[in-house]
Amino acid sequence: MKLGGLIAATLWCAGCGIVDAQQPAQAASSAGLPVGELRGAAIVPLPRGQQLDTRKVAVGERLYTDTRLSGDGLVSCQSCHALGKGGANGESRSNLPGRPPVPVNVPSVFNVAYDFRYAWNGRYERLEDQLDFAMTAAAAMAGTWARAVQAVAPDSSYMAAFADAYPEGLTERSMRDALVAYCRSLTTPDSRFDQYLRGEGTLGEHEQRGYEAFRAYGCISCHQGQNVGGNMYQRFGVMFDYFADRGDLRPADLGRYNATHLERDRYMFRVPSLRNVEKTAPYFHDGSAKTLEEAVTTMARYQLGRELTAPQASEIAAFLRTLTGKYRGEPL
Amino acid sequence: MLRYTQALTLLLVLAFGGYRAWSWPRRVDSASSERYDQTLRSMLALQIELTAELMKTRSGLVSNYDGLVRIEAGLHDHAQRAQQAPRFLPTAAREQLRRTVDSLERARRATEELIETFKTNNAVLRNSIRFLPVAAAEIDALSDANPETRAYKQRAAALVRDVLLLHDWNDQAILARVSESLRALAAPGATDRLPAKQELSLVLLHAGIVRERAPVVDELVRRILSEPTPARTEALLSRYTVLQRAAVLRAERDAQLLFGLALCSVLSGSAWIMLRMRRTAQQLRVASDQLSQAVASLRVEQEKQRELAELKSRFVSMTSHEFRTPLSTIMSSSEMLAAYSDKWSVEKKEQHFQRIRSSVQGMTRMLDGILLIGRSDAGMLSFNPARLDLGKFCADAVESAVLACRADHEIVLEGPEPEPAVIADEALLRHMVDNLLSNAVKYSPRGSKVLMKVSREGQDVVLDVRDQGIGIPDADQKRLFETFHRGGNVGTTSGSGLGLSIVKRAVDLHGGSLALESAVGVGTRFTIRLPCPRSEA
Repeated sequence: MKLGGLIAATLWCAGCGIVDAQQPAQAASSAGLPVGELRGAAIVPLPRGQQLDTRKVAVGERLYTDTRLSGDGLVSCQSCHALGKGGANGESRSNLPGRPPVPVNVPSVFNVAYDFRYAWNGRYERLEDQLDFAMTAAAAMAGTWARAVQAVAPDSSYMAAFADAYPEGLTERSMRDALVAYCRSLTTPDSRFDQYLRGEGTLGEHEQRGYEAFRAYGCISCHQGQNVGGNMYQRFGVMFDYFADRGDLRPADLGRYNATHLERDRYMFRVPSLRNVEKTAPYFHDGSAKTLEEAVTTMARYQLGRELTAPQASEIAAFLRTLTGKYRGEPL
Repeated sequence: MLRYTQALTLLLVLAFGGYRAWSWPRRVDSASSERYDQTLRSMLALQIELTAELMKTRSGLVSNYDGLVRIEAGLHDHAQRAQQAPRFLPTAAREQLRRTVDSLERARRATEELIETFKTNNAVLRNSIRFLPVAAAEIDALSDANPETRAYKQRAAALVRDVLLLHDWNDQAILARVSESLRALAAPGATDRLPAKQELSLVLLHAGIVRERAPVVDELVRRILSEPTPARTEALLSRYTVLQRAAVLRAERDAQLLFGLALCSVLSGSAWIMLRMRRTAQQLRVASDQLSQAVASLRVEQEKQRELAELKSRFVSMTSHEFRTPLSTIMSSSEMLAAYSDKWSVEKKEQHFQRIRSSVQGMTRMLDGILLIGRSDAGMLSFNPARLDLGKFCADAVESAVLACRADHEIVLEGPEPEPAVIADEALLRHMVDNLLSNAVKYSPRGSKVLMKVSREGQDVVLDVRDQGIGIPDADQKRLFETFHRGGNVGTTSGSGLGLSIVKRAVDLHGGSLALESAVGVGTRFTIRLPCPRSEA
């Protein structure tokens, strides 16, 4: 009898493990993703649902806008990654009080859950590492996790929320984890293009031609996958030397070389996601392209060796604007 | 009692501990071992999936890198989990596994770097490949009118063909041909006079990229595929299986040892309890023996007390009767003599004097008997052997008895054989014979025969007295020799109950034995056997 119970318990535990492992797959299919049909397609729609602890996300959301987390209490995460500005700051560099600008353009916080590396040079493998950097960098939060925990500890509502979400309550680790959970929750599914891919919507003629050009000219070689980018590295200037043409070479332009110091990684950058790209001007790591059309033109020239006409660039830009998704059901 | 309860509790605890020790290590094994094993197997499965995904992206069957990213992330997670070898493994085994996992992790990171480089190069390569058919179509659209253009067009078409072939086959001869074509077509001034110059230069650009990158990408794929991670993972898996099995065996052996210890404890505990129980039982038995002995001695004591009381009551009843009767006889005869002595004849007077005398004699005899018994109980009756003429002694005794019974009974003496003399105690012998003969006469009907036979058997003299009297009931025969005890069938016959008691004591003192045969209404026979050596003198 006891032995039987033991076996049953073991099977039950094993069963739980299997169920856990299968949940993401079920979530994907319940989000209406016809995996088989889209297999091999370069661009894949974003999943509509996520498996996240809503309590952790809620705490993270409060922390995200809390300036007490920064070293001088002047800035918060949203100072640079404003949700109203496409998850970035709308400027070519950061512009924070009493801080030097970050040497690269601020990337969007949206859809980071689907990026394979973080920062332009892909230095950070996990979101946690990226947050560690942001918390301590003099150009960003200029603080420490310990200080941030001390700063919010007197707030009893935080203590209660943390006690609810984490067995250990408010700690450096749980604070960072809550922020990670919130960042992961910042996804923008149901863009017009995703709806088109799912067969739930259509593209305008202009946008359709833009999509075809996007494929035909080869943009899609790098900007692919569910994040339309964000899953590989590519050299800025495959066909021609972008930096020679631009001039004024700065350390940040070396890209991944700064992380690996390997010659082959010189000018190598993480291919950015093109989702919500219309909301995240200016473009490139140096913030040099002010408009989407300008960015498309530059990319075509240096990455694909093509000179686009203004209408061609405009068509591709029109297609890119269909990649703007919805955050919590509302278009960005 | 408390100690037994404690011992029993201890036994139960030990038994439970034994059971836990038996079941604990295996349960730990199955949970964490299963997880770890599953991690390694998933890792292997992902590594194989990675190979398939890599080939698909290389060939363009899959045109995004999400699959590779997902597999790489999975491998990264599994590698971290694989660092945590199950705790039930011995430290050395865990260290061994950790080293293997570390080398595997280095290989995984190297593979990951190769895959990143592959993705970067493959994206460029695929882009160029995708462009080539477009380029071919554009070249084809060129006019054939100009022979120079026609020649260039043919050359360009051949280049596109060769590049596409190169992409698929990666053959050295094709590579050489592509290189040659590229050099010729890209020669300075070669396209100066041609239309669609930009498209042509683009064709050359992409062809150059394919020529340059296809071997690079293929080399990367070859290196990734030749990375020994799956083989190492398999080795790790089998290594783990061996270690796990060893650990399970060791745990089972430990459990068996613990179980054995527990069993020993239980057995020794049980033995201890049983020994204690046995010892207690023994003590109990001894105590009960002592108790029963005490009860028995108490009963003996009680019996003595009862006998004493009975003796007393028998003495009282005997004396009240046996003294009062002669005393009243003496009283009445002496009063009548006093009142009528002047009127009575001499015979009449003599009759009453005789009654007084016989009463006094009877009482004297009885008192003698009581005194004799008293002396005997006080150890003052002694055995004093001396020369005795047995024949004369017997004849005297019978004669006295005959005189005493006034010839109411026929008393016959048979024996003894004439012999010089024997050594015996005449007084004791007199007590025996007188009492037996007087009893025989007293309890036999008038005129019946009493036979006394004296004979010699070896050193012993056998006195045999038998009568034809009322006999002695069986119930009384056992207690016949006790003081004051008389048979139940004596009726009004007077007697003290001392005679046989005296006989018995005399026989015992003389070192002889006394036997009795009797039947009620038939008669009684007493046989006395006395050791009486012949006198030498």
